[in-house]
Formats: sequence, C-alpha cells, structure tokens
Amino acid sequence: MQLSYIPRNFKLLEELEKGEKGIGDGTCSYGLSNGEDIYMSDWNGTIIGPPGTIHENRIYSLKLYCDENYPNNPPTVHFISRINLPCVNQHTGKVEPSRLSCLSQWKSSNSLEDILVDLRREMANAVNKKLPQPPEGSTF
Amino acid sequence: MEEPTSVINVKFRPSNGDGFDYSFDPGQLTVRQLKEELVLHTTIPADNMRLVYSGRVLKDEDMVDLYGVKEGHTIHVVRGAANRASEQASNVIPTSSGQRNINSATANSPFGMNPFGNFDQDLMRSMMNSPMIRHLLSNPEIVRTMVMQNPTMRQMIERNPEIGHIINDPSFIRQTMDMARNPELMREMMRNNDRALANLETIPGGFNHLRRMYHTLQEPLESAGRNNDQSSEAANRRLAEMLNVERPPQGRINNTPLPNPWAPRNNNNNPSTSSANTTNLFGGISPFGLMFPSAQMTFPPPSTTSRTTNSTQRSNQSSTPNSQTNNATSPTNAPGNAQNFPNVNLPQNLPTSIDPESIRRLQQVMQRHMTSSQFPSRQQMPQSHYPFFGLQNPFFANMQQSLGTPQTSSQPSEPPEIRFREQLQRLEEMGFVDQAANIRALLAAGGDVNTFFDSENRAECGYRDIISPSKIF
Repeated sequence: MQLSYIPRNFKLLEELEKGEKGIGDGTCSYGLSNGEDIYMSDWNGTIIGPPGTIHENRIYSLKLYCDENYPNNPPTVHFISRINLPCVNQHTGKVEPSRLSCLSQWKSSNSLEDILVDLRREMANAVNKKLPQPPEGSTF
Repeated sequence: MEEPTSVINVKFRPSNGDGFDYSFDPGQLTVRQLKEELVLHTTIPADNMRLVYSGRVLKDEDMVDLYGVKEGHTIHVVRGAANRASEQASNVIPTSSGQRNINSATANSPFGMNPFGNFDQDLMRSMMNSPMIRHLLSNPEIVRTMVMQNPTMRQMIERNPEIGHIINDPSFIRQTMDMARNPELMREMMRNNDRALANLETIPGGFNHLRRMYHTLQEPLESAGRNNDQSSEAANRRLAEMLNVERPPQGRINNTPLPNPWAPRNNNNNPSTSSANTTNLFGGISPFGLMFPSAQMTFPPPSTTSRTTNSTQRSNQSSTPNSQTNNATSPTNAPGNAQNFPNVNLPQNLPTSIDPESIRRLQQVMQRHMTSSQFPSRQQMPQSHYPFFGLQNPFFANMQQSLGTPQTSSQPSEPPEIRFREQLQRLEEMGFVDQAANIRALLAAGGDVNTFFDSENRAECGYRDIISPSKIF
C-alpha cells in the first residue's frame, strides 16, 4: 500500500490537471468535487450525451470515488443523473464493474477519463442509443 | 482560493467548432452573466448554453468563482436543451393581461428595487421569457410608453425630472427587464446594490450622497405609491388619541408597543367618572370591530362620505371601488413620517362581526349623534374626527332606523326644550341662563349634563370660561 501511495497522488494530480485544462476530446469533463481534498478521493464527472442518440443535448453527472488502492483498483462510479443503461444499477445509479469493459478489465494505466469515455461509448452503441430515458434533470 | 477581484483568462471549448479564450473576473460574474457575455463568441443562445467545468455543470445562479476556475483552465461549452423556464414560457400565451402585469410590476418600482412586488416569481419569469414579451420588451421605447401610461408614474416623472431621465435611458430599461426575467440575477444585483450602499456610507461625504439619493429617487417613488392619503400630524394625533397612546417625552426612546387598533377597548365611557373620555365615542366597543350587514362591506373612506343620507346600497357601491384602489396600493404604503405617533393608517377594510351587545351600544352612541345632527357646528366637534362613525355615515342612519329599538331616554321627535327640561333647569340653577345655548350644548352632549361640560362643548356654546366642571358635580 505504501508503494502505491505516492503513485496514486501523482497520477491523480496529473489527471486533475488534465481535467481542469480540458485536455481530451471535450466530450467528458472531470474534476475534484472538493478542491481542498488532499487525498483526491471524490471526483465529479460529466458526460455530454453523444449526438445522434437519445442522449443528445443531455449532460450526465457522475460521481467517482478513488480509494487508496487507486490506480491498482478501479474507482467506484455512480451516476447522479438518472440514466437507463444496462451497466447502470437502476436503483442506486452505480455502474456495475462487471458490465463495463473498462472497469472489468481495469489496468493501472487507465484513467478516470477512460471510464467516462467508455461509458459514453456505451450510451452511443447501437443497442443502447434508442433506450427510453427518464426525463432530464431527474437524479438517482 | 482565488483573488476575488482578479481577471483570469479561461479557455472555452465548445463541443463543436473552435475554442476561444475569454477573460473575466469570476468573483464578479454569475454563471448566467458569463453565458450572456459568451453569446457573442458562440452560436449557442444563453438559454441553451451549458457550461461544464471539472466534471460539474455550472448553475446559472452561482458565482463563477464558486467552481474554482483558475487561469488557463478550460470550460466546456455545450448546447443543451432550453432552460426549463423558457420551456414553460413557450406554453404561456402572451395576453394583454400579461402586458398589464408587466406594466404594473414596472410601475411599482422601475428601478429594480422590487420589480416583482408580491408577484409570483416563477410566473413572472416564465412570462418574461415568452418570445412575444421578450420581443416587446427588447424595444425600450415600448417599455417607456408602457411605463408612461401609468398615471402615477407619469405624474411622478413630471414632478421629478431625474427619474424621467432614468426612464428615458434605454440601457437602464434593458437591464431592468433582464432582471425581471431572471430572479437570480435580480437578487444578485440587489445584493450588490445593498453592499454598494453600505460601503458608500463609510466614504467621507458618502452619507450626504446617500441622503441626496434618497431625496431624489426613493422618496418620490414611495410617495407616488402612497396614493395621496398621507398621514398628517393632525390625523396621527387623532388616531393616537383614539387609541389612548401618549406622546413619549422628548428625547426618550419610544419603546411602548404599538397599539392594536382592533383590540377591544376596555376603558368605560362613564361620563360621571371621566368627562374627557366622552371624546371616545366607542365606549367599550372596538372602534373597528363593528357589525355590518355584509361581512365584505367596507367603510367608505372619509372623503367619499356625504352628509346626505344615501341608501345603504348606493353608498356601498360607491365605496367599493375606492377601497379597492386603496388596497391595491396599500403594500407600498410606507409608514407615515410623523415621529412620535403610531403610524397606523386607518384601515380601509375593517373586520366586521355581529354582536348584539355592540349593536346596542352603538345605537346609544348613534342616538346621541342623531339628536345633535341638526346643528352644522357639530362638524367641528371632536366626534366628527371619526367620520366613519359620525352621522355622515349613511350605514349608521339606516341601521338605526331598521333596528327600530325604542329609545329610552329621549325621543328625538320631541322638541329639545321638553326633552331636556330637567337638565335645563339644573343648568339654570347653576347660572347658565342662556337657554338657547344650553339646548344646543345639551343636544351636542346627547342630553348628558356631564358631557355638556366637556371642554369642546363648552367652547361650542360660548361657555369657554367655566373652570373645572367636574367639581361642580
């Protein structure tokens, strides 16, 4: 654990900077939910609904929690905005790790952004893009 | 976190198209204001614009610095669905009543002090967001015309050219309309305004400036809303007298509670114990807790009462519109400016209750009045200070007739010489030999010798110089 401690913070700091500077494809955004949290455990994420799907013009908010074993262990991911997706628990909004490839095959080189991008890909895939969705603004 | 007054340069990254840099002060802008500034750089209207930073969607009403945006950071600009407010707005049919509402809202306070009044803010916002109203209000000329259509406003502007200048300033009108459209923005502006005013006071000479502002803007505005029934010193004194309130000694803080004008009056109107109390006509009756045939009926304001006995119906009708206008403006009725007397305006709508006891008592009071009604000089008597209850009020006359209870002490139909035979005799024994004057005074006093000695009545009938009437009896 001690071994992973420093890399954890380095990695998260790097991700934080990437998130704040908006480096990436611009469809996902993420940052610390509390800027003064030195452990950098709680993160917010947003996914902009992919165009051409039922999610177009919607913005989904998520919560990500990086425990002390990050990045060896994947973070836990919850949707705040209500969404109808097979990989999302419809009662809690939790993204089931077993049903999202990025989480089930987690590598320590993966990042928070990878999770968000993977989720967005999931929204846009042919099976899910027409799924009826709860009204925008509703939350878990 | 960040210096609250520093301007930072932030990258904005739309989901499609090129990003751009924009500099602003996050401590001075709400998200909504920022969006409105960004409209120039993007094709997304402010209503549809979503700003996403650091995994969060920025809320319109928040200040930008709440999100900790720093120099060189990136905010994503996303086109979202239209705001909920504007979705609602498109369902609202812009009618002439909508315009009227705006008109009245602006008229209440064109300076954004409280553009909503008692208005439902949501309703207001959705209305302001409807395309037609927006179009209308985007033209400052139309707004100006609307404001000027209100007679109160026009009058005020004619009297105060400074205010007229403000109304003529299109950017001001636009700003006001923006504020009316967005309650958050308005709250924010009001907050800034308050802070600015508070700071102003600490600057040397700032207080004088404040005072000047008050005199040129606030005061005319408030007095315009007051509907001409300003409280005068005399009116306040009468009210204070009626409520048994005393002027506190000079230089002391008035910490006595304001009297409740609706509370039942306990001081007994017994002439033999306190002749001064006869000015309080209501005896044990609460002056406003009187009974009326209809619970909705309102007293006609003093100016509309006429001495001629109209039918109850007619005067009722004539009084109703008047009291409505008074109601409409009453929220803006600031307390009067007399210093030491309770600033209670006589209520226009009086609570009514049917109570046989108070009917009986009122009748006695009425009786006293009726007997003296033939003398025009009665108008100057203290009783007429309460025009609601004086004989000018046709309700009372009618009511008394309809009640038709036998009158015990004196029949008004009898000539006063016969009615007051006893009292006159007594007065003559005391040396008041002028019988005509005595009759007149007795009539005014309702046949009561003690009341006769009330100072006002004495003055009335020429016996100004009698000393200490209470000692005689």
